[in-house]
Amino acid sequence: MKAMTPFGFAMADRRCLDEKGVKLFSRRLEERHYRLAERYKVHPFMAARYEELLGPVGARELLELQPGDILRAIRVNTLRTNVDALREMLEEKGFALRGYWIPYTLIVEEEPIPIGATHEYMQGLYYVQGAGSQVPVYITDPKPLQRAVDLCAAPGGKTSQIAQHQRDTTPIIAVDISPRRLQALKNNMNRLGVRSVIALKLDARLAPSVLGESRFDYVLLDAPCTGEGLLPLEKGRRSERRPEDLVDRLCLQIELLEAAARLAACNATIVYTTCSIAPEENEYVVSRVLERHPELEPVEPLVKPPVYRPGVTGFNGVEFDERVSRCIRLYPHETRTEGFTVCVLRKRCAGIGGEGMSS
Amino acid sequence: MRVEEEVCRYRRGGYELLASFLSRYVGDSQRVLRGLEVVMVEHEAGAELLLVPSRVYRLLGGLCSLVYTAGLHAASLRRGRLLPTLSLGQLVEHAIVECYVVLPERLVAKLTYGRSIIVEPRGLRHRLRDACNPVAVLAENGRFVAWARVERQADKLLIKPLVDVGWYLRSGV
Ligand SMILES: C[S@@+](CC[C@H](N)C(=O)[O-])C[C@H]1O[C@@H](n2cnc3c(N)ncnc32)[C@H](O)[C@@H]1O
Repeated sequence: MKAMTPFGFAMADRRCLDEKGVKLFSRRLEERHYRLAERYKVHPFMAARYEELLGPVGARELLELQPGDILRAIRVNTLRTNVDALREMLEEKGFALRGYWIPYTLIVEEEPIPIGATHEYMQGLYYVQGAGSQVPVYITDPKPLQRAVDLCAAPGGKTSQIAQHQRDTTPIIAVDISPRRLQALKNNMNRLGVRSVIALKLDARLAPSVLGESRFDYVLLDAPCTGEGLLPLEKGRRSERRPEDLVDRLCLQIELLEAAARLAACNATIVYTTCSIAPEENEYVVSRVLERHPELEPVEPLVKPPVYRPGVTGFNGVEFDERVSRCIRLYPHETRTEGFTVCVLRKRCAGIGGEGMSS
Repeated sequence: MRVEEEVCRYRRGGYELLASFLSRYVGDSQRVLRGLEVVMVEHEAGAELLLVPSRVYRLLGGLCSLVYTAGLHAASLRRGRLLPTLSLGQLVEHAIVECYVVLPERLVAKLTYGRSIIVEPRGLRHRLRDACNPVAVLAENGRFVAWARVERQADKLLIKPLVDVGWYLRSGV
């Protein structure tokens, strides 16, 4: 028998969904959800989700956002320059910039030419990266000498940010499945002068069997997602967002996070992040993996953004592991950044000695 | 890392070639390469020289067949000729003391569209000899802009970029 959602998409072939998962996608829609959907040109199921997540006012605020409301940001490449020097160079060319709570981030207020087309950009002095996208690495501050793996790495925004934190002293294994995106990663590492990256063309789900178990003390998983956090930037395509996309993504996300857990060494930090504000792709995924991995413990990040919301512990009547409240949510209408969710997990050692790191 | 015994395309090689190329531009080429291994990756059309820190090099052997790239792509070898890359220029920009020309912003702008330019050498900072080929083109902020061929034309210089940092935008990747 096939379990059907009110929208008629079949769940039976989505074997990764457990009972709670099926319930997450079975939603009763009210008249007001259809009205919200109609007004903002989104799928009624999505409208109902936004309303539950953000409340009626928050949902409208999110859906009202225009691309211009989102901060334009760059990350200064501190491997090649410093914030003051770059700021001076760009301001001399007519850019209006201001600082941000992340010390190496600059917000672009006015750009006489596109910020991605200056000589300083070509010279590798900065990377154009949304302010939200800079949060996961910044708040977990990978240290020099921590052996790092970035599981969905291309085009290398966060890989090069990790290298910046580690002052490019420590090997970073950057894994991605797409050769086209790996080429972009290669160009970016060359432009930014990052030396310590080994890029692998690999399905990250296979990474533990290739790289070995319990090997890394910093594991970043910036998982492929529906990109729901980018909603304000994509006016035209909103209506194409479907609940099925969420199911598709979360099945892969669970498998990828399982791989991340296996790669992590004793006491390692695992950073699970998506550019999505969907609880289905974040807290649900993390809760599912926590069920099978008692050695993982969600923890608070080292630094917290000045504006954020805690992880949600339930959605559509489904309860998640309550420790996911330690996740960090960035809502575009509150932070003026792309929406992001970040969950930080620590892998505890099994007994004295645990699983050590060896090279 | 699980180290498997396999024939690896990523092997040490090309150090002498690279050091000798760099010695035209920097005082002490061994110094700019300190701490880095030169790795040669052969492929059908020639080979690539990569620069990787020693710690990274030690991991390459075990990952070999999966490696898409590693470290900085410093140069390509085609029919015995060494073609320097942008990242090599960026790596040594602060150490360049010979075979360079410094261009003002408006000329850098032309060059980064991949266009040749003709300039009056008077008033430009440069150190050029006949043996300089290619020449490192720098911007006034001291940053690397291009490897270029420079030809004298009467009392002017024709600067033809071989590879310039505008490529990062033009490549579209
Ligand atoms: C959100 S993007 C990563 C962005 C990147 N972390 C950055 O900051 O520049 C997700 C990436 O996951 C990759 N991907 C998707 N499925 C994958 C898999 N099974 N294994 C490895 N990479 C995968 C995609 O090719 C894509 O590059």
